[in-house]
Amino acid sequence: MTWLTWRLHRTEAAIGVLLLAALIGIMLLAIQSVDAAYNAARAGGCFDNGQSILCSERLSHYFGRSARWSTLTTLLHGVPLAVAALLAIPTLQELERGTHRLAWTQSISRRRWSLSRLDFAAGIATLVGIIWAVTAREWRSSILRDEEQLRFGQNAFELSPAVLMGYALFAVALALTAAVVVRRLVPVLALTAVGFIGTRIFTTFVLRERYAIRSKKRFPPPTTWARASHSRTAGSSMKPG
Amino acid sequence: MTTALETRDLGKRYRRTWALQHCSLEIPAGRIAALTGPNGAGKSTLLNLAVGLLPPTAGEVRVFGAPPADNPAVLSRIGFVAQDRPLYRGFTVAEMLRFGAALNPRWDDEMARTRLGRLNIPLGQKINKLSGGQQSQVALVLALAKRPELMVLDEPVAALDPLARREFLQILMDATVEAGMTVLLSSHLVGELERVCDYLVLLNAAQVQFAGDLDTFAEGHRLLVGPRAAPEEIAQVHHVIHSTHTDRQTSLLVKLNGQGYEPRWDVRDPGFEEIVLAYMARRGEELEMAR
Repeated sequence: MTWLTWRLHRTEAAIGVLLLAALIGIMLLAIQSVDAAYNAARAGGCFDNGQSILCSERLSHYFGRSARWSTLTTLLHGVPLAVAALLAIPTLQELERGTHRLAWTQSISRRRWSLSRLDFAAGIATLVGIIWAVTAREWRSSILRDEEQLRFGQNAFELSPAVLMGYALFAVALALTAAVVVRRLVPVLALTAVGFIGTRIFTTFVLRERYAIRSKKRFPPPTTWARASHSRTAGSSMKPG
Repeated sequence: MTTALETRDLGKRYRRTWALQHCSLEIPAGRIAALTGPNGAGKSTLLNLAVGLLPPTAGEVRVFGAPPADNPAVLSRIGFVAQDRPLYRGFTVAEMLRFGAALNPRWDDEMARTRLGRLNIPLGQKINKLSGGQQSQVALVLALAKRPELMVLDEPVAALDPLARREFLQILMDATVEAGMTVLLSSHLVGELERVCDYLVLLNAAQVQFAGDLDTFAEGHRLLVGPRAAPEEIAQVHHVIHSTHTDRQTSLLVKLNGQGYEPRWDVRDPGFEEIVLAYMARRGEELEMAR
């Protein structure tokens, strides 16, 4: 069964690995390019008192590169859709050509047949989610350089590992459901894209507006623990994510 | 005598149309049963119900005493070749065998390889590079290598040329004799069926018209030809299966009721094919009359 699942998915798996490798390659290039600009600016002490012409040049160089490459983040939002499409294609082909009828008249239960597919899809989605989260984190820490921005800034929530895994699993589940119901490639891909992007827009712009407002706590360093007087900034206007 | 396939008041409805209704039949083990009927009579529906691909809307179907749907214990005893013989097109023949071996506990790999070797089908060849006839053979070998006790084939030879058809049926019959399988195959090719089968199931308009020994099927049928007349008179005595009229002549295919006829009828023994066609040609009102 494992062999069969793998055999049915191997072409799409190869395409997926190539796409993922290309994405990671681009990310590494971007990180390297931004890091180089950052290091040049830091070496000149430009972040402390960057008044000189050289510094303003180096700083604008650094900020320019970060801004240019940060459009990559948009690309990252498309990853779950790509995973979902690649995982749905073998099942679609199976339903389109009727080979599921061949499989279902062998000596196995449909439950086992479906579970082997679902296990594989869930495993791949989780794996891609993890790889994607690690890449995104490296990437963001390279352009942001600020622990607070990294943790609470824009996209911090969207690109955290658990959320990315969730998005990937959700997109895959959506695509497989559409595949079983609609059974034709183009409508399935369209439905998955609309469903996924629609859900994300809805949660980001409608649901999240209604969440409780985040509170922020600042802890003083441990040495001053005894005289701790932590500040609490409630009602921050910053939205999570 | 054990029963391989048994249906009781089996019915299948698609939306508002019954594809099969009130179907009760028993196919004894060891028989080679032909399933025939016009297009849309419910043949494929019956076969798909028999192998558990479709859930019945009404009644029940049992294979070796148990419902086949999603039941690996029963499915391992059934070999099925679907109408369009679905195979994984990107697989090689060897990979199709691996598929069969992975999914079937009673898989006979040696037998599969021997048969394919005899048919000169190379194991390394991709399925989509094989001819239609070869694909049918692979589908048949795949079903046979499960070592089934009941073999179900849906229009297995419809897409084959006469030579490939003969070869296919030959392999099927040899395997049947070797393994003592029960076979249920659907086909339009009435002549072929008479040659290879010993049991007949005749479907028309979603209903079973006849189910029983092929030898007894033709018994008692006569073809009456005479001057043009309405069949009502005859119908009072005999069972009229089908009537055709020209301007001057009426032909009736009847099932005898033990009594004689008026001398104006010319009486003749019809052939097997003629009788089957008469049953197939029955439409609406004749079927209503028969009920």
